[in-house]
Amino acid sequence: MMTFASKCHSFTRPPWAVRACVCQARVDQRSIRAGVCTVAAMLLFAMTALSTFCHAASPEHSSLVVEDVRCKGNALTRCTFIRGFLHLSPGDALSEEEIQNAQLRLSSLPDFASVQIYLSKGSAKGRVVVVIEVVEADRIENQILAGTSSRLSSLYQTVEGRVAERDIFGSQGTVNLDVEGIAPIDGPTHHGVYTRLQFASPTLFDSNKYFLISGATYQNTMIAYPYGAYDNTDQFDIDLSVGRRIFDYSYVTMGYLERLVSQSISQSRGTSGLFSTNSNPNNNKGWAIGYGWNSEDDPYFPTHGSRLSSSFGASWASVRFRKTWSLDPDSTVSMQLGGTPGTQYRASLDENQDFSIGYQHRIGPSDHFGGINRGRWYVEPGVSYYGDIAYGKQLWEWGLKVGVRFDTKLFGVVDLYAIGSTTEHGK
Amino acid sequence: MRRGALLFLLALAAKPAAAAELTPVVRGHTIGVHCAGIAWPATLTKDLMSGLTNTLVIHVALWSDSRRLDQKTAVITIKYDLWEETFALTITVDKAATLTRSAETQPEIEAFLANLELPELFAATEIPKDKPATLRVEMLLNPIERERLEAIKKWVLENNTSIPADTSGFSDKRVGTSGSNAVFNKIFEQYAGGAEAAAWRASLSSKPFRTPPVAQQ
Repeated sequence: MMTFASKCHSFTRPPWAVRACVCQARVDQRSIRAGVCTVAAMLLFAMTALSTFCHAASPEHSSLVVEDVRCKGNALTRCTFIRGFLHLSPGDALSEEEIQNAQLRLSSLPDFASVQIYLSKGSAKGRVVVVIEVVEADRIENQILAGTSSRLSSLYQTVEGRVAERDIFGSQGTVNLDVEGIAPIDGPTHHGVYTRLQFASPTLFDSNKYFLISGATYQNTMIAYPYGAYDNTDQFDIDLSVGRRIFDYSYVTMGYLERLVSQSISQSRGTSGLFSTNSNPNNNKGWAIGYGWNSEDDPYFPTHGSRLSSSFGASWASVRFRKTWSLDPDSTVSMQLGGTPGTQYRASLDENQDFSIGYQHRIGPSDHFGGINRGRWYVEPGVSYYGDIAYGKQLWEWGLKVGVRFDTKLFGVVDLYAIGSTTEHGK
Repeated sequence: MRRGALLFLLALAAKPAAAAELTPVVRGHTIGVHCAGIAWPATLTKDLMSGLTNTLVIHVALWSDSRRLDQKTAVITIKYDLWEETFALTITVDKAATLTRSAETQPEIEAFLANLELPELFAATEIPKDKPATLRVEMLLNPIERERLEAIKKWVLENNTSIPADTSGFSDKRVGTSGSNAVFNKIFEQYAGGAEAAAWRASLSSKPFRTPPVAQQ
């Protein structure tokens, strides 16, 4: 038996169309005769014709017609921007599938903490208003970091704060201010300040492929090492980079740096044991290229994926890599090389070791400290290599970092850590 | 009149309905499930009144001796009529319609979801004699097909305007735009894990139970 069946309902068709129709036609092949064929053909034709007026009763299409698309909850985001993610216009038949797609598209944006789409009655039965209700994400994001370090015979305290605002001046750009201070507590001095003001535009030339990052950085640090070695830096520089996204998660960049203030003095004994001083690092300006990717699922609390950031200039090279694996819903393990690569939103504030293996365990939401959205504690044993620091001795550092990281309602992301190490002087 | 009265093989503990509870339901020679105290998402009421179709997929598995004996999938659809202000409710089990109700009121729908019952899913004879069995349920609200997630994933990749990770050309300190929201990440986490994806899902297990030789009234 061959069965043709269709159901269609309409409330907004022209007067001559059926307001609510149910059309069914059945053709039994066992009883095919000429007359029956004709009737069946006519029924089939009629059914096809009707189906052009009535929407098939599949879940994707209903008899409802979109009268308008409205936005709700958007204090800072234009409704035209939000509506652009829903491919339905007034007069279109309502598609629940498209509504679900639009919800997913909008949910993929960092602009919204939540997105909900629902219908409300239009001016007549069968006509609906699609309402896109959003809760906008906080455009200002903070991060606070405090850590106590006992490394290379120095005991010092690091405090760092970051504030960033997205969609600055109505653009999609982000402004970030990062201030860091290091204060010595005991042992060889380890102090300084670091600050960077940065603007990042995710769409350059109205293209989703290109982005721009520019910033100004000031650094004044004095770091003393064993055997009388030290590094004293006083720099102020400006930079500009243009990047292009390639493949799924990767990008390349090219940029230029100009150091307006550049005083850098490094002193170490070297293999001979005699002090040598380098006060002209010859890197006051220059070009750099970079390559990286980011497939991590979360910039602060990754559970899987990897990040790479690398850059190469005339007188330096930097490669940082991290990969994270999920052990179970509550714990992850990570491997890091060269330090924590920068993330999609935050500056790389972490104090690192050259190579480390980390274990992270989830801390659930709570009402402590004004509200914790999520958190984790972590331990990171690792090793760092400082090279020939004096008398030809290779300096290795074995360290352990322990800490907690919270995403709090009041203070943003809060990082508290302690790191201690022991050194080994090889021959 | 129902042929067999509802029989809960395990006594319902006198606990508040805070914790979700799954209990087997024996009716005649069949076994079904009863779910109570489910922590539905906070947006459920709004979702139900959205005028859009809400789909609840429930996978029910019968286990005994660390072996899955049988599995059924029930699909419950609930749709609110904005003009009639009533709900249409349909239940299918393994694609066969078992219940269709229209003109349901909101309290009726809420009561239905508060004490969700899917009777007559399995034959009692499926459970080996003298062996305890358990029921496991996994619920997904408005699941998203993998094909659609593939398409959305492609769209996100093509339209991604987030600043890539630290470009670190001259500095360790870089910033970009933040990632997507938690619900979206959760959906794609499930997708990446190979599971059916949904913004809300819940899993329940019953306590071990034995079927009586003769179903009682």
